[in-house]
Amino acid sequence: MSPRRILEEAQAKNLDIIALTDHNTALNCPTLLSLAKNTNIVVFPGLEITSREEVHILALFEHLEEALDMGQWIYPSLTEFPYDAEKYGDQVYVDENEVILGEVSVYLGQACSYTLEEIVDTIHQHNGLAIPSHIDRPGSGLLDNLGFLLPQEKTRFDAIELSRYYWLSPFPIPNKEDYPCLSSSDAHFPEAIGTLVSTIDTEEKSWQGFCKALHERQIKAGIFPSNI
Amino acid sequence: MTVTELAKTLNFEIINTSYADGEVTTGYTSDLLSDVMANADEGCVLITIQAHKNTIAVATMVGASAILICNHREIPEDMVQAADNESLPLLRTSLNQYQASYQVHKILNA
Repeated sequence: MSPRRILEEAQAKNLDIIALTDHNTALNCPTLLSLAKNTNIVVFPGLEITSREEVHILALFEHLEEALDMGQWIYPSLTEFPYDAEKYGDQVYVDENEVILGEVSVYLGQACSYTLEEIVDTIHQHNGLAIPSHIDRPGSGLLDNLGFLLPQEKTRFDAIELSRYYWLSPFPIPNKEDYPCLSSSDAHFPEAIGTLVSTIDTEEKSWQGFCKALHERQIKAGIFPSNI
Repeated sequence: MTVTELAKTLNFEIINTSYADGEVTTGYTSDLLSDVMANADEGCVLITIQAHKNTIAVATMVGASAILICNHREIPEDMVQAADNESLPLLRTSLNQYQASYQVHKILNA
């Protein structure tokens, strides 16, 4: 899924804000940000980090440099082992014309060696938002792997992300009300982009507007656009 | 069998300096803490590779007598600290979960 393709799909789906959060890397963000400059779409650079506990957590940033720095912090904590691109898929990063700029040789689907707490701290040091992904989902979600969601003052998560499973069949989650809730498509292929979204009530389509809306809970999650 | 007896017999490393030496009556093997919460029995030794402090919270919740970390995984300092705070014995082995489970089962059912 190249940055160009992502942007085309987001435009076709009339999205206002998107985030690019590849597993454990931000190396495709520079190209997407540069392509998006000439559009109405705001792109947040980021990563979806897999913690030592094998919990997925979104790291979203305002600036490209912060996301790339975060990627550089994660990279040495991944284990090197022979990577078979045929089996696991290509791990390339590309330019605006989809020309391959490089390939990551460490398998990006693995867990890094940092704990959730260390990851949250480091995201915050880089001025980012720390949001555990699809916390309700079986496999790699916070509730499945850790068994519980602690109150916000203990976790310092800025929000939680709920997946389509939750919105299709909600169930009680202790301490959920402590957090702003987001939902997004977690798209792994272009057609999935925009199949689940959140809407925010903000005067400003920007990072600041997004952060303010999260803080003030002016956000509505769990919207399946095809059903509207 | 007490935790110390179990550890000594099976050559498990005891990580804590002090802990409550309770009875181990059974074992439970899992790397998903939600599964441990739902299915582990009180008095079990929890056999897992989840070497982080959340495992201590879940083990305490289900009343486990000890945690056994497999594959000689590195144990972070805050996990040891959390185990000490709960007086929960924290053990380690170079065996994998399958091998460790077999050894524990054999000795508890001897």
